Amino acid sequence: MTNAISAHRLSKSYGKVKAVRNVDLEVRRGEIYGFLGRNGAGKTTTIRMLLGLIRPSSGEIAILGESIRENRVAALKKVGFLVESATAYPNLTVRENLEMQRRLMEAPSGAVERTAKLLGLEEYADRKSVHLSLGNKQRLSLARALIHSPELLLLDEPANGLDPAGIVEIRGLLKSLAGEGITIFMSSHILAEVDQLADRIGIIHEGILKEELDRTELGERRRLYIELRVDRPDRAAILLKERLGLKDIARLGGNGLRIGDEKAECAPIARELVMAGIGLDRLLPVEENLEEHFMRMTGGRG
Amino acid sequence: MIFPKVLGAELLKLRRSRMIWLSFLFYLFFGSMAYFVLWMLRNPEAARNLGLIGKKATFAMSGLSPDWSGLFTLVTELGVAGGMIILSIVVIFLFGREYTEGTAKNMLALPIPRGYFVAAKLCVAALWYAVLTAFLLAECLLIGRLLDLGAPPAGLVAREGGHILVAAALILSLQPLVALVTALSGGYIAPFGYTIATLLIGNLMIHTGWARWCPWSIVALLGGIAGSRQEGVVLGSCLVMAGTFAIGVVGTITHLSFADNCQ
Repeated sequence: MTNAISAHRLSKSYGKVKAVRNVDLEVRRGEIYGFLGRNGAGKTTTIRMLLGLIRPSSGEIAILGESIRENRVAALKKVGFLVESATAYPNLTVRENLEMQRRLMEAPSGAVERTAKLLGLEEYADRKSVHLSLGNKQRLSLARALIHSPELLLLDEPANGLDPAGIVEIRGLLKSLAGEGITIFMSSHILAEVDQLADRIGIIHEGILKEELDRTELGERRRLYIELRVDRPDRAAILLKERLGLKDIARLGGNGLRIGDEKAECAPIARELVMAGIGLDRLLPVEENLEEHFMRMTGGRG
Repeated sequence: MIFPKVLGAELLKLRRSRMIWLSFLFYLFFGSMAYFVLWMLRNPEAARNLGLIGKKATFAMSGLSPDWSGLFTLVTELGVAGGMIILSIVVIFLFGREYTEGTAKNMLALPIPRGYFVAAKLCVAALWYAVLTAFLLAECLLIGRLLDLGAPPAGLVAREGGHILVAAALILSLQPLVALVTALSGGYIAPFGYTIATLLIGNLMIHTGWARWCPWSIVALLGGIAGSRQEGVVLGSCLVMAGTFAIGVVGTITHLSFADNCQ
């Protein structure tokens, strides 16, 4: 079976600015793919190219086995999408917006009620979308994306504007959709969400796909740190550098230190600090989270 | 067939819009103007006593007769001059709202040939304008009754109605270019500027020997705004109008199909 998304050497330039550079993407059917990147990294440009809204400068895209360049209409038949901000026709009600989408996507007649219920929009069905909150507009956009029971969902920031309860709800919904075999390709700024949802993660930075990993690989590549809290952090840092030869020691707030050296071990650190009479409140190994891993990969603090 | 569904979607968007009522208000205003002018022509003494008419106004209106013929001439001129502006506003609204409301990306990412959206929007504009034109004709007949002009001569109604319809068709053929400018700019301001510029160009060209070749002057020539109807219009003028229409349609479809949508 073909992949849900296959993109080969995908590039997009605007004059001298290279927004996306030689990106290769293979998204398997049924998986949730988290697409991460800072603002301006090339996420939205990539998603727009996948949807045929932007023509690549070079490279090929196949969606569900169909070439976007040669047969955009067939390629997008079974794709649901949400691009950047949630938008709807403001003068139409929720029901009318969904009904219009249902007809255009040639979905069955019960689809409006089904998706409105799925996204918790039933009580707003007769409200004009101009009067919806940002979170409910986002729900409406998601409902529109789901109305024709797509095989692939392309979601750009699906949790935008949702409150914490809404985020949990949408996470559950996406998980259940993935459980039904729907492929989900999503970008998000909420890395904790991606961390909990995605089977695979791609990190794009300055238009280049820097890293692509599945859950196991991500676990293996995450760095381990030792974090400690002492009464004299500056003295402790000097001591550990001199006595144990540690080099990667960073100050944290509240008298904390973080040691990133791979050779660092808890026992010798504790011994040296105690022998030097430095008060030790806390000492524990920690694994970097996705956010820290992302920051490290994209050149931020990590 | 997906096109009827696209057309249905466009009609639904239109039905819920305030713009439709605004355009009718404009046409109501045109009718009121026609009534007012005809009333002054039929009652010059009363108009003078009320201070509504002076020497200058008498001179300006001297070309109109206070009967059905004068009324139809007036309504046609108002319909052509106003219609060029109103229909452009309608087209700018139909295309521009997709950009200002942020829905263009949703529309263009649908698995539907993009030319269908252009065709559907232009069909809706044509339908809207046809209803407005019918409304104007109905207003004309009502004004005649209110002013006791008697029964309208059937031949005159057919001839003048025909003129109004020809002018409406010509005005429609200018609109795909308005749609193209709207799609290119992704908003309202540039097409409004374009519309004003073309009106000015059309008016300027009427005073030259090139009016029959300028699409924005040809409408005025045929509509009777620039002197007697059809004066100077040749077969080439019709080809110019057909070419203008084709360039606009092909240009808009090509732009929406191949240009990047970075909204």
